[in-house]
Amino acid sequence: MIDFFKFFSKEENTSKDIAKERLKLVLIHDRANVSPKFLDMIKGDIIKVISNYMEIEEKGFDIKLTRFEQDNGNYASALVANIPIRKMKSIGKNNG
Amino acid sequence: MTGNSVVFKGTRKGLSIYIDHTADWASIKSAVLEKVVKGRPFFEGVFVNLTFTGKPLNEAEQQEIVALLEEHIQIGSAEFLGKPEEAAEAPHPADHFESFTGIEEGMTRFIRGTVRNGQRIFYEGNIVVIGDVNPGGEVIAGGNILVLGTLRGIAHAGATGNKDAVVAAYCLQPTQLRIAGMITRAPEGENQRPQYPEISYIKQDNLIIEPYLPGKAK
Amino acid sequence: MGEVIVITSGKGGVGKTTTTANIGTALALEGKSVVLVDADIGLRNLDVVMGLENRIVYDLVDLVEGVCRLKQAVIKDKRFDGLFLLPAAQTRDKNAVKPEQMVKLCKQLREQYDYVLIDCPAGIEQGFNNAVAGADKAIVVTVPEVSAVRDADRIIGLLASKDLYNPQLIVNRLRIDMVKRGDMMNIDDTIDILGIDLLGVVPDDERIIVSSNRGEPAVTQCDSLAGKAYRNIAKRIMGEDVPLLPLEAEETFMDKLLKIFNLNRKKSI
Repeated sequence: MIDFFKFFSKEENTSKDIAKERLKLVLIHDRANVSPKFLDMIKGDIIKVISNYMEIEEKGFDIKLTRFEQDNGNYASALVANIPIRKMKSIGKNNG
Repeated sequence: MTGNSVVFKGTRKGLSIYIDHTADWASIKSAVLEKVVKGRPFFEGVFVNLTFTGKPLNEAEQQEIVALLEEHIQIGSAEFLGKPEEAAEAPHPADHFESFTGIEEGMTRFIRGTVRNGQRIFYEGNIVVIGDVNPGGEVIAGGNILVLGTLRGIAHAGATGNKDAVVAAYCLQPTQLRIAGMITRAPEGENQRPQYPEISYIKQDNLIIEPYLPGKAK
Repeated sequence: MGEVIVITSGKGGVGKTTTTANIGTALALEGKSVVLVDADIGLRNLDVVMGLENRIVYDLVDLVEGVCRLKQAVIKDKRFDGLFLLPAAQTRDKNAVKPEQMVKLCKQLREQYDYVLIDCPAGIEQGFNNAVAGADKAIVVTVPEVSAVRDADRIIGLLASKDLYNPQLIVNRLRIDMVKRGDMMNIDDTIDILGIDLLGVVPDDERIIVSSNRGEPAVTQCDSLAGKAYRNIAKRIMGEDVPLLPLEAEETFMDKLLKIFNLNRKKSI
């Protein structure tokens, strides 16, 4: 079944789709009562813990709340962290 | 008769109560009671901010007088600025809330600028507004009300009982018009803006509106 | 030294946030340094309209409580040089800030930016008091509808009581077609009642909704008539004398026909 409106729409992503996606993200933050500062706090703690095991690149460290699509088609919230590693510390390496 | 032991004065900020330095507590209380009852139309529906001047009151007296007033009006705030007698300002001899009689010749307050939605101007004498009265604005006078502009809000002339008071405006389109105890509203469905100034007054027990001069109607 | 301008209306939903976002962006496009302040604590929206919602780390409440420094709370908009946003808090309410704190904040901001635009929340209580506390000037936004104009009138009276005299008026969402039919108040009717100077008129424009969807202020869309109107308003704020946009469409054949048969006579108010 061809969606005629989508077919003739000039814009790849209609603005309403953009709006929907932005809104969903904003509401995750609002509903979780999670201020972005909260993420800052988590960031600090994660850096501390991981730094026991490996040296990480703090500048490139990024953490955010986002949504992902599950297999059943439903969306779930996820905390996603991007942690660039400089090098491993000896604790983490296999010893003997 | 309580004479002039207490003088009420309405200002844009609220109500100023001047207490005569020579008055005794009992006559002060009964004077205040008398005036607040007489002045009821001025205080209906708003929170009144009180400023006491003249003879200073001690704490017990302050509490008593506020409690007394609270039975009749809603009090927003009360401040006590009384000072021991020096050459204190004498109250205006004409300041009392009897039914105002000076509609042919009497004290008048002049308001410059538009009376806006949410504002209320009240005065025991006549009021002249050099500006408009917008919807939601209220002008309440013991005497006449003149609006040198468009009256679109509420006007209440003769508020203390003078049936001979008038309301006049360059453009009379009030949401509600009252003179003494009589009240009228703009007739339904009339969108025509009046083309000439009009005057409203009580004629033979009816509240009527006429052109400001006979023969001016088109 | 910059100017602190509060954008207020009384009534909600008439376009304060959209106006703040667009005027701010337009001023930045003209080369000025601008900080937008969202004073709607608890119901923040300026960040979403600007498309900066994902960049928020600290907010206005954090700043006045001393939890962070000014540089940490203020977000730089990477798309426009000189444009910054100080977002509102979402999980507090309007009592979290006091007018004295706003006065202090505005003093600080005035020193660092050419224009400080404060998006005022709807209503007349604490939120309004906070928003106007530090302002030098006020802009009142209204739409040509009875309830909005009444609320605007009230607000003008309240602004005067806060020593903000001579606010300027923006009439938003004007629909020329409805005005011609006599179904919408025209500009003159609105000014007649409110009695303040007109800063500008913004026509009703679908592109405003689209731009809000995208988080891209309409002043950046060249095909948006509302965007053009906002750009002109920004110029007037900077002191330029810009004539009002010609919003009148050409008289259509239908209009002429109706005129012959006296069917579109304007109703008098």
